[in-house]
Formats: sequence, C-alpha cells, structure tokens
Amino acid sequence: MSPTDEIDTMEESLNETIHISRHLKENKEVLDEKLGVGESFDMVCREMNFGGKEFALYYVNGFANSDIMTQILKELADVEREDLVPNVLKHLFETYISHIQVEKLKTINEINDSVLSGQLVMLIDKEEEALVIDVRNYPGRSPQEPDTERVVRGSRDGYVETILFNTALTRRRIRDERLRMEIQQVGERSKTDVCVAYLKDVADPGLVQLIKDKIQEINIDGLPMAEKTLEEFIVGRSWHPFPLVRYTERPDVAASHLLEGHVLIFVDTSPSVIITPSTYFHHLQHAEEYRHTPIIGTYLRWVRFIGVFTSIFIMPLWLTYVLEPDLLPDAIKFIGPRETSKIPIILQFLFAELGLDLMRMAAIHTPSPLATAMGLIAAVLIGDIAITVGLFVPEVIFYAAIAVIGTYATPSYELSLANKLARTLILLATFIFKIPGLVISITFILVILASTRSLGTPYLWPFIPFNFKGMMGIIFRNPFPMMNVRPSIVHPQNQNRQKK
Amino acid sequence: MSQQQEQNKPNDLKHRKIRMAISVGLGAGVIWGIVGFLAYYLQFTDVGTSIYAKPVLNPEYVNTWKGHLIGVLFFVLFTLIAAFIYVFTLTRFKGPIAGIIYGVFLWALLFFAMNPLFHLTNPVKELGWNTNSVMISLYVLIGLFIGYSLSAEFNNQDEGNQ
Repeated sequence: MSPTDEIDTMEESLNETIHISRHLKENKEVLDEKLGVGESFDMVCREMNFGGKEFALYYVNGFANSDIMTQILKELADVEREDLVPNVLKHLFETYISHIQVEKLKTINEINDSVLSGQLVMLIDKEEEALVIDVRNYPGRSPQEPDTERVVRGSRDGYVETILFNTALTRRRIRDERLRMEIQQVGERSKTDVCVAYLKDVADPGLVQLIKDKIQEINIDGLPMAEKTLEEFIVGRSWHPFPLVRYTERPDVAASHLLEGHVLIFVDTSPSVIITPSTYFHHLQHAEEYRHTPIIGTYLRWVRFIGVFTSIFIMPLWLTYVLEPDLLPDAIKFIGPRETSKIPIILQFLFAELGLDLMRMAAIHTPSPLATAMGLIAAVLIGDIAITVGLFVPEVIFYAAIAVIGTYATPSYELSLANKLARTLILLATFIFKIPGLVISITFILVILASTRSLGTPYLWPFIPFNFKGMMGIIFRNPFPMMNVRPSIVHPQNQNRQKK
Repeated sequence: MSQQQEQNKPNDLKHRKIRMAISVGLGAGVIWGIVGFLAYYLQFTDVGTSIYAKPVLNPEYVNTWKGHLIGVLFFVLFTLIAAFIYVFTLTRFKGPIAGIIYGVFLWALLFFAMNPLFHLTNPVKELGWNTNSVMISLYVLIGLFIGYSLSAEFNNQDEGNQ
C-alpha cells in the first residue's frame, strides 16, 4: 500500500460518524484515543461526580475560561441526586448549567470538533447525548487602529484576529436585519471559520453564490495564512502581479463597502477583510479622503494619483531622454544628466531599486531599538556618499526617491509593489528598445490590466470599460448627500442609496 | 432607471446605445486626444494632433500648439464617429480582442487611406520606428477603450436577458 492510500483511509475513518454510546467508559475510550488525551498535554479530560452521576469533561487547556468553568462546576457540585434523576440531561440543560450558550450533541465527531474549537464538552454516564458549553476565551488583542490605514480624525478601532469580534464590529455599524453573515469552515485540518457578509437585498446574488461555491470547493489541509490563501483560491490567477481584491482592516471602510453592495469575506485568525469585487482604483482610495470636505478629499486623491502615476513613469521617461537626448523638448532641456558615471544609467536605476527595496525590507524586519542605526546607514546607501563614490549620478537618486515616495503613498501595499514591478518592466523595455519599448510596454501592461477580470469584474473599470459616472466618482470625492446611487460595477439589486 | 424595463423595448436599447456611444466617444476623444498631444509634445511622435484637422485648417496653424488643440477637438469628433460605428456593428463580440483589432483597423484607415488622400503627414514608411510604434500603441488603446467599453456594457445586458 502506498503512503497516499494510507492517508486516504485515515481521512475516511475521520469522516465516519460514531454515535455516543450509553456507556461513559466506551465513549471515553473512543474520545481519549481520538483527541490524544494523555499524549497532548493541553487536551484535558476531567472525570467528576455530581449528584451520584459520573461525568467526563473534555476541554482544551488554553481555550477554556477557568472563571466560568469554576462557576459552573461549583453550581453542579451543590446538585443532589434527587434533583437530577430521572431525565438527567433535561434537568441539567434546562436548570443547572447556568451559561447562555449550551447545546446538545449526538455524535462523537461533533464532540471532537467542539472540543478542538475550544468548548467544554460534558459527557454523562447512561446518556446518549452530550452537552457542549461555550466557555471559550481565545487569546487575542482588543481592537486598535490598523497601522496601514491610519486617519487623522475618525474611529480608531480596527479588526482583530478573532472573527466574532470582527463581525460584531461590522454589525455595530450596520444594524440592518438584511445584513447576512454566512459562516462555513474551510480546511481539512485547520477548520478555519470563513464568513461571507453582504446585504441580502443589495448585493449581486450571482456574486454571493459564486464566492460561496468557490469557498466550498476548497479542499486543503489548512489556511494558516488566512485571507491570502483564501484569496488565491477564490480569485485564481495566482501569477498575476496586481492585487485583485482589496483588503481593509477598518470596520468603517468595510461597512461603507457593504452599503455600496460589495461582498465581504472574513477569515478567522486574520484582521484583514477581503472586499469583492474590487478594481485597480479601489486600491487608490483611502478612508482619509472621506474624513475631509469633498474638495480637500478630491485634492488629496489627486495628489495621490499624481504621486502613483509619477512613481511608475518618471524613471522610464527620464531614461528615455538619457538614451535619446535629441528628443528632449527645449523647455525641459535642463533635466538631462550633467555628470556621467562609469555605470550605465539603467544599471544605476536597477541598483537604486534594489537598494531601496533592501531598505524597505530591512525597515520591516529591524527591531525598533536598531531603527535609528538603520536610518543612518540607509542615508549612506542611497545618498551623497553613493554619489561621491561615483556609483550614482545625482539625478538617479532624485528620481528613484520620487518613485519610492510615490510607492509609499499608495494606500494599498500590494498595489505599490505591483506598480513597482510594472515600472521595472517598463524601464528594461525602454533601455532595450528606446521609445518603441517604452510605449509598447506601457500599452502591453494596460491591455493586460484591462483584460483582467477579478471575479467577473473588469479590473480597470471605470476607465476601461469606460463609465462616466464611475469615472467621476474616481476623479472627484463626491459629497455624501450627492451619492444617490450605488456604483454599477457591483450590479446592485437596489440602486438607490437615498431618496433624491 | 431600471435596466430590466429598458431592455424590453428595442427602442430603448437603441436609445441606450446612442447615449453610451456618446459618452464613450467623448471620453475616448478627450483622454486619448490629450495623450496624443502629450506624446507629440514629449517628441515621442512626429505626428501631432493637428493632422486630424489638417484638411480644413489654415496651413499656418498646422505646426502651432493652437493647431494641435484644434486637432484634439476634431479628434473627439472622430472618436465619436468611431464609437457610433462600433456600437451598431460590433458589440456582439465579447472581450477586449475585438476592440484591439478595431483600433489597429482605425490606425490603418488613418495612415493608409486618409493620409494619402489628404496628405496629412509623411507615408508610414518614412515615419520611422518611434512614430509608428507610438501611433499603433495609441490606436490599440483607443480601440480597446471604445470597443471593450461598449462590448462590456451591452454584453452584460444580454447575459441578464437569458
């Protein structure tokens, strides 16, 4: 028998349904074997006796909240045999277990799942049902402002790693009975909770169904990288460098997208929520714009657009004029390189890109006590000294710096890296083929992006395919009283947001 | 405006096609006209936007920036016409490919039919790699813009009908 066969049979044995037996001893034997009580130190089976009845309590040490458990056990300890029999289960369930969330289970498999998700399972001798009490207390942090989406004014709560907190933070903003949050479990071993959230009378039912089907189709052992793993399964196109869905860690951003008719996907163990469908331009928006007056918001947005646009095109453009100085328009003649270095400009650009990326990575990994030291070294790496040594001409440093600042100003980290990759491609094409290389590589990238569809949504909407209303919504940050209709890209069932 | 109701009447579909063609044609003209103007200013191409107005333009204006701006206006007119032709003949093709081919066709029309007819600029063979690559790229994007916008709009409707 080959190893894969063995694994298959093992999984079959996992799927087999076993009913709870009348004899506590038999149940215990099965459960101890399955859960590995005695082998794993954190898997606990506590045998107790209340009112003359044998009880077995199963729980995972780190998840159970000992305060609640002590309280429940204390009350059970006071119960007399006369209070319990006959109908032990009924009495316990209806009277003696003082906890809001208690359920009855019929199979060993359900017991397994409940114990592993952190609940307390109570098996009673001579009973064919078990009680499961939710005494979970997951290790986690409380909501705090996400690092990547800070605002000057406005709410400072952010999603955390526990899915229940996240859905609660969302519901706190939309108290609508039509808000649906459907949960399912993904992962043969990890059994990660995945929640699809949408407004039932607004969101495109086709999209909701598509997402649910795609989640159902996933057949993997686990989702340790949570939303990113899920995204690759849902959207596919894993080799596409551009981010095809938007993430947010802000409940207010998530709620406003829900109201626009988007579908959100929460994944347990991750503070990032997936927004679908999303386009290129969704990645260029930031909550900050909606915290200012429309005109300031529009200005902020334009600055960002210009920054991102510049960060992609300024290096290839300048390289073009370095390679073909005759083409430089007279008005901007002064930008040509004054000094020359022994190293070709293209290599200088690539070195600068490499150096800046090293710096970026170092900045992420450097522990804060060393950050100052890193800053000093970084200034040497890309700065005056690099010029003095003769490695770089000043212009290269300048344009690389502009490009990098534009990259940092991109609200979506994923998009900024993808843009950077596009820039490098354009740079290389420009170096090899000069102007034809420049324009054809830009055209190529635009055609690829326009042809891309993320969950059936054209990626460059509303630019290509062109939609005038959508485009105005991108160019201007409209005042809320004027946002009467939902964007057509989400195919809302109900277009109107407010009475005109 | 409920889209379902509009579909039911063929007259409304025609109406919608006209509206969409106007919006896409104007958008294409303004956006790509400016891009073409910039490409000329940055000296990537020797063909300025004034060629679109050349047959009617005072020859003195042809190489001034005023001439090129007037050219952009005429260009908008041409993209409008192109959008109208596309919306009534080619929307049944899904996806971006049809648009790209349409763009190449427009480019060929301009440089192989209109150019010899009205002596807009030098023949293609004499324009050189730079100008030709810029013009082809520009027209591929114009075609994609017009074609894909209109195809996507009216193909989605068909899907909804079924």
